[in-house]
Amino acid sequence: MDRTFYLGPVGAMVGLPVPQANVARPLNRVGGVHTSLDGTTTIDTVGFKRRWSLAYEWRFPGELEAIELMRLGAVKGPLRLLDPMSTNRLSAPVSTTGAILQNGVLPFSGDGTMTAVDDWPAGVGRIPLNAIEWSPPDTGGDLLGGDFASGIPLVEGEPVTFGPYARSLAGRGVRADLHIYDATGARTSVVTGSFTTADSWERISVTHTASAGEIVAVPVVQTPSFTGGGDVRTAAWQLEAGTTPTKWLLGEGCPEVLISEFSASSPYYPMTDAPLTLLEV
Amino acid sequence: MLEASNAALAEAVASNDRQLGVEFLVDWNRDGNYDHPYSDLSTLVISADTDRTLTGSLPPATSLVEGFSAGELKLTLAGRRSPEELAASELLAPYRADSPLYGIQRISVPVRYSIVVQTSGGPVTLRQFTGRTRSFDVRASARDVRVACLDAAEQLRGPVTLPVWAHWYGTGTQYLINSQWAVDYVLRQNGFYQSPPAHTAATVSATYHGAPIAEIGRLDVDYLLVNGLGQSVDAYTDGPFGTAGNAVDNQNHYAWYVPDGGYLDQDNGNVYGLSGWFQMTPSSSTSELQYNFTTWGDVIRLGLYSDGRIGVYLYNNNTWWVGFQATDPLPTDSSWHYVAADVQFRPGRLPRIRLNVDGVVEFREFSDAYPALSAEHDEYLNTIDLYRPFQCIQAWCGSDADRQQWPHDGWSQPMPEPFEPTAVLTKGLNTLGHLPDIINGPSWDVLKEIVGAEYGSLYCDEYGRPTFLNRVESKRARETVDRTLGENVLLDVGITDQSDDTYNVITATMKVGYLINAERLAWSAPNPDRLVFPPGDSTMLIDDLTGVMWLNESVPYSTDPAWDTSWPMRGFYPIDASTGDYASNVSVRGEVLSQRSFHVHVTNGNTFDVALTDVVASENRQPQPRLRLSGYPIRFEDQHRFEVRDEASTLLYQPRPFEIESSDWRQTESAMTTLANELLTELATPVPVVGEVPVVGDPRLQMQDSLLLQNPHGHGTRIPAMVSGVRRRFTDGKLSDRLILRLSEPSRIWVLGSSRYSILGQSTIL
Repeated sequence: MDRTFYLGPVGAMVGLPVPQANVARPLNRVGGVHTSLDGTTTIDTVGFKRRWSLAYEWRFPGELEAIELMRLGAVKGPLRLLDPMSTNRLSAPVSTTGAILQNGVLPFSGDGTMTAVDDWPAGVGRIPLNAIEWSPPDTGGDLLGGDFASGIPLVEGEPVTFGPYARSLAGRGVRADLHIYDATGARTSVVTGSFTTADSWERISVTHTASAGEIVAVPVVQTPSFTGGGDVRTAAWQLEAGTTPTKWLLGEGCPEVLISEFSASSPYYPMTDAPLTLLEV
Repeated sequence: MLEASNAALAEAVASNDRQLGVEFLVDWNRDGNYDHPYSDLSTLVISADTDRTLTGSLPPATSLVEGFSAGELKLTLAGRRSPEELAASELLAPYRADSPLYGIQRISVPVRYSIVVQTSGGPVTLRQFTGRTRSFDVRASARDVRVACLDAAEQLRGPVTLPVWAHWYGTGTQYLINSQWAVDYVLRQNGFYQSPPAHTAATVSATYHGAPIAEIGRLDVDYLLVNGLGQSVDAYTDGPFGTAGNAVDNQNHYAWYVPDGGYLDQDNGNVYGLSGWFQMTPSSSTSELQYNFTTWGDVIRLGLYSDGRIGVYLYNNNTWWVGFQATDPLPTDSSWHYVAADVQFRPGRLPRIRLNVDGVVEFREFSDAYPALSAEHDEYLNTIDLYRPFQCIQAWCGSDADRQQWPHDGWSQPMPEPFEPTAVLTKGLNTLGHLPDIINGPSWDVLKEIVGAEYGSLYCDEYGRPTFLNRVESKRARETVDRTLGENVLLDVGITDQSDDTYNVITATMKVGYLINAERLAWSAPNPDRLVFPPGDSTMLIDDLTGVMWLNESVPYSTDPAWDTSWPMRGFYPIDASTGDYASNVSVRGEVLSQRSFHVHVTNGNTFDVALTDVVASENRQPQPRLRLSGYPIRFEDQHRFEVRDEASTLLYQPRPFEIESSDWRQTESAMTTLANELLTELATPVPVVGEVPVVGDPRLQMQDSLLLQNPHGHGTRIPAMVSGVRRRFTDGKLSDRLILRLSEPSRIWVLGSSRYSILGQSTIL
């Protein structure tokens, strides 16, 4: 399957034509700058938001119809964007397992307790970051990297692979899972993947190809019931298109976006130039 | 300074790279839970401005931070929270029937606004404003909504009526009313409490936050003239909630209260209770609260013994009947405790007694039937006889229907309920001889006058709590420096030294009312209108009594119509309304309803109408009314005026007068002399005035914070200042403050050994 931009509500993502060049996708800081009279600068930040500018050039009429329909409201939002230029579809806080916080809270939930610890698989990424130390109940449980609302949109027929790093401090199994949801928000299946019991950093993974009706995947690290319990660490989460986990990269998410600008001009009849601007919500 | 001790927060705010957010919540359901689906409108906030600025009556060149402030929040809302919802301008448009907020009242809805700062220890939410919505301005063109909100000043618009009260100078001046009591009383009437509110069934409630005056019930006249404390003992001290009544060993605080509400019979399962907070100081005497059913006969006694034991006893005809003591005595280590007791009489008068000490409840049921009461039970009183500091004294009585469940029901309130103060008050620096006669006055205006009379400050803090600081407390706060402003913010700020605000002759005017310890003519019928009574019983209501502390219910027969201006001080003279002949068989009885109302019951045993006038009307004679009541009236002194002057300053600057204007709340010479001398010190050597200072927003900074200005190459070093106003703007993701400052000290101040005013190498050169 071609790697391209997908735009649309979850469950109805539409592949956009590939813009060959001039894709701008700056990550903007939202906030103000104070400059005092002696030149000292202070910046106030209320958030970081990405903007996409896709310059569609020399398109046939009709090629961009889906975008126009979404812009005019024929397709109900919220619209999500899958950006082929970001390999890791998890958000920055989830992919860095807590090194980047969103509103100061760990973006994980599930059974037991979890804290950020100073541990990171060697050789992964440029800078060692945080791991999550998870104390699951003795009876086992799940560590979820999101929920239905913040999960990763699936495209029918496209395989995705979730490949986190994990280590088991006390020998209990740690497995990579994907929770699959349907359009009603109900979890329809749990796809189970490989596991480790080693007290050293191992990469575990799970692959799934969405079939009709499977619209959202939530990455999960699972551990079964284990006598005496024991803690688990996990780090460097990645969810990507494809069937094998590749080198870890910082996640950029599948953000909710708004269509800000979409105008058309014709450089040569009947071809259309249409710059599209998307704003992260 | 909000969260002054949070180091991670201080670091995050002072950092040059700050992560900020807002939280804006609206309590559409008005139940305090903020759980309406549309309560959280944080994501719609485009800009938010808060403004708290003290408006005072002193010239700016004083270091006193005084005045009042009604805080304001102005927001611009726009956008939508999610694609499925309406945009802000549609959501809040008053005629949009498809809005989920359609039909919900939008005005005067509680709101909270906070700034969220990301710190190394997680996000910290700093409340900036608590108040109510005042207006919504929906602008369809800009697709935004401008929301204006006002803090508790909005809720303090209710009317307030003050009790009638004047001090009898036969008791020591330490019994004069402290202004904290007046501020607290007005706030309590408006639902703001620095101490727990009165029991729902209270018949007597006296806070003692600076006066013995009851908020429910009233003091019996005999008490007005009683003085338990010696002149050297303060009548008030500090309690757990504001000011408390003081008492020391061998010198008691003693009072009788007449309860509100009718008499409840002891047979019907009625419950009678007493409670208060007490400081368990070492004491050789027993402190007692009493609930008297009859005059000195049938009594519930709640006793705090010298060794710390707590007991509750029933007395019948002055004889001990039944009762018990708490299992564990309280330590006499001067700690404060809540003690309450209640008694329920069941059919046959079998008493159940319960004792509550700091929320630990013990109870007993007695099978001994309580003997019948004497018939004379309409004069029951609640008395306090305390040798230990105390506050928030209450008595209550209610019928069984008010009870829920024995023994752990609502009757031991308010103690086990955790109490969170909704007002913050310091002890006042003003003393009052009488309470001005305010009937249905607007609360906020009354508060401004009380606080303005002593140059205190009054404002609502970020949590919407009305806050009263006296002028000394404001100064005390200066000893810790909350923030230093460096030359990077001060370069463009002007500091002006001017002579306009120099005043060296202070004049003060005051007027006090006091109680006369003697019965005098208190009320006389103003004209013959309403003074004709038919045969049988009639009742006349007098509800415009003013300036009378106590009225005598006895109205004797007068046989002589020749009354002069002062004699007789009470009485009536009846005539036949048609013939003008003197009429016998008429009796008049008074009944006090409240401090401002009185019933005159007239029994006419004749077959004709009688008039209480000297003659009947005729061509050449206007009848004069002949009905008078006596009591203890309040007498007002003539207005008194004095001046203080700074001779050195008058030589330097010529005499420049400043007038402390007369006010109903400027009364006693002792308080006014202190005030005038303090003002003289302030105004004879004025401090420079500093302009408004724009700074990088610090969401912790609040009114009355203490700052240090440091501009070694400009204005100078270590200039102390106080914040008297903060205008905070959060827009386009940028948080900025404009500070209104008052400099705290005149220049050239040097204090030996002070860490602030004796700096080696700067102000101290060896």
